[in-house]
Amino acid sequence: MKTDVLVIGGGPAGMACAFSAAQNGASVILVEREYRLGGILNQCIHNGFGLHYFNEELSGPEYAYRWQQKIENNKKIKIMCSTYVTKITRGVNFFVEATNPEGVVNIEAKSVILAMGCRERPAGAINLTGTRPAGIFTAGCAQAIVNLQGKMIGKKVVILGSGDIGLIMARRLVCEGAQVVGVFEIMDKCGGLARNYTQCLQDFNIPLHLSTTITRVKGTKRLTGVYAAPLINGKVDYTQEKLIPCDTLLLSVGLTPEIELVSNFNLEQYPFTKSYAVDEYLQTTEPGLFLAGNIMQVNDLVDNVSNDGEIAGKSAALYAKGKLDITQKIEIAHDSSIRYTIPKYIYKNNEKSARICFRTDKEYRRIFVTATSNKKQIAKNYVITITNGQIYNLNLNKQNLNKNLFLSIEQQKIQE
Amino acid sequence: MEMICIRCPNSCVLKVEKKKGKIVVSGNLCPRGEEYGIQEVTDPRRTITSVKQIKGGTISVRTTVAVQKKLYFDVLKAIKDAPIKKTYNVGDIIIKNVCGTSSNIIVTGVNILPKNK
Repeated sequence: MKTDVLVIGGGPAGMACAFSAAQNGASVILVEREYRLGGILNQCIHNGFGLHYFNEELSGPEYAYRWQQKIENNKKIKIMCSTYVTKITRGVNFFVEATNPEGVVNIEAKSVILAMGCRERPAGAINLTGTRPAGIFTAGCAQAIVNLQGKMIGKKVVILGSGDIGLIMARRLVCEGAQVVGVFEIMDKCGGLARNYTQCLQDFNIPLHLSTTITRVKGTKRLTGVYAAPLINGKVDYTQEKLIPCDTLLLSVGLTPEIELVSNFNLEQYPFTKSYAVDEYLQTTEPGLFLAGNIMQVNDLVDNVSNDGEIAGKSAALYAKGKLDITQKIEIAHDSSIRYTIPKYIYKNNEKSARICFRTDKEYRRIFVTATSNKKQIAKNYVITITNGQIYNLNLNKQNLNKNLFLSIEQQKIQE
Repeated sequence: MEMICIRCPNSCVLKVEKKKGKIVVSGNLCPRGEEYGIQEVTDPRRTITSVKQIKGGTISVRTTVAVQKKLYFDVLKAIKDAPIKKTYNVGDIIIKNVCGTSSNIIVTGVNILPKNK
């Protein structure tokens, strides 16, 4: 099989990639390992998706359904579900090996977009000590069992980690009749969005224990309890360790990008995201190989992911036609309040603008985000608030871009 | 009273006070925050989502508009008790005016595993 653009992963990023690449004239093959499109959205039954794209508050499955409708009857897009990519190599074009119930599939593509998202960090990744009983789940795995299979996972639950998935699962389990004893967070603040803390924990009187962690688990066949201890000056205080009886432990302790598939390529790594560095086209340092969605950086809003997909899809279509304009590469520099930027590189080319995303080191209110090139200010945006961990999107007008680019944050002077 | 606005990810910290019999909201960055603050102290509402077992799998559902918070568990029970139909499509209404509210319960997703060949 031959195609212009191959998209791997049929979640929100992959669907937007396929749509955008086809819109830009490319033939597309979209490969998905599950039996249907949608990815993780199918199990995210809570609402809050699509405020930007559809101007509505949809649930995850509805958001996926809308995108599915956009690509399903498109003649330029071939969708292959239940298909798993095992290997990617390259000559002039990319050669991709995949398997599905019919056998081995070989695909030759001019460009490839990786949109496989993340996987969850399991118990092994956090050195959880103690026995190995049944009843320990990652939050996303529990979400799949409860929401897709309609089966309950336990009666008395402890959740480790206050990321959004952990908070949302706390509410879900209470709604299904379980008792959630508490959510434990090793950091001194809630990891998830404040709105999720309000409507998932406060609404149901679920306690959140900050600067506290689970030290070990107990139980032989099934989990019978976990030990929790507070952190004093960043160190676990074992003298205050307490046993909390429970039959289930949920882990919401972070995500890791699914990047191993292309480890045979010599790509520039990006330590901030545990993924690969990209340019404004979301292209890695391997020409024609693109990233989109959570495989590139973990997003808090699905709308951002779809936006990634639209950029990567268009870029991959242009690359396939040999029309990707990559003259004069510039590495984006920034002050220390910005932790990292995506992309890492932009070009001084004929494209009018570029999207630059970044996260900050802490919460900022009433600030200016400024961009400077050759000591000249080329952009100054007023921002009301950037909350902790939230991604800020800057649409940079590149007309005055010169040999370099520096981003910084400036506090607005308030006159009272 | 202090609360966090849940209308968007900005998560504004609202201060809601009664001044001369009127409810005054401060700390909000947009008009939706004021609306939320007043609603939250007079008549708090939530969009409710859940899952229902059907033949061969599950459906996910939600209320079409936010319903009174005190009806949370009544609405969840009504969803579980609703009769099971033969087929479901995204957007189908499975309960009209759930628990006497002006909200319907609609299907947001259908999860039936394909049979192995």
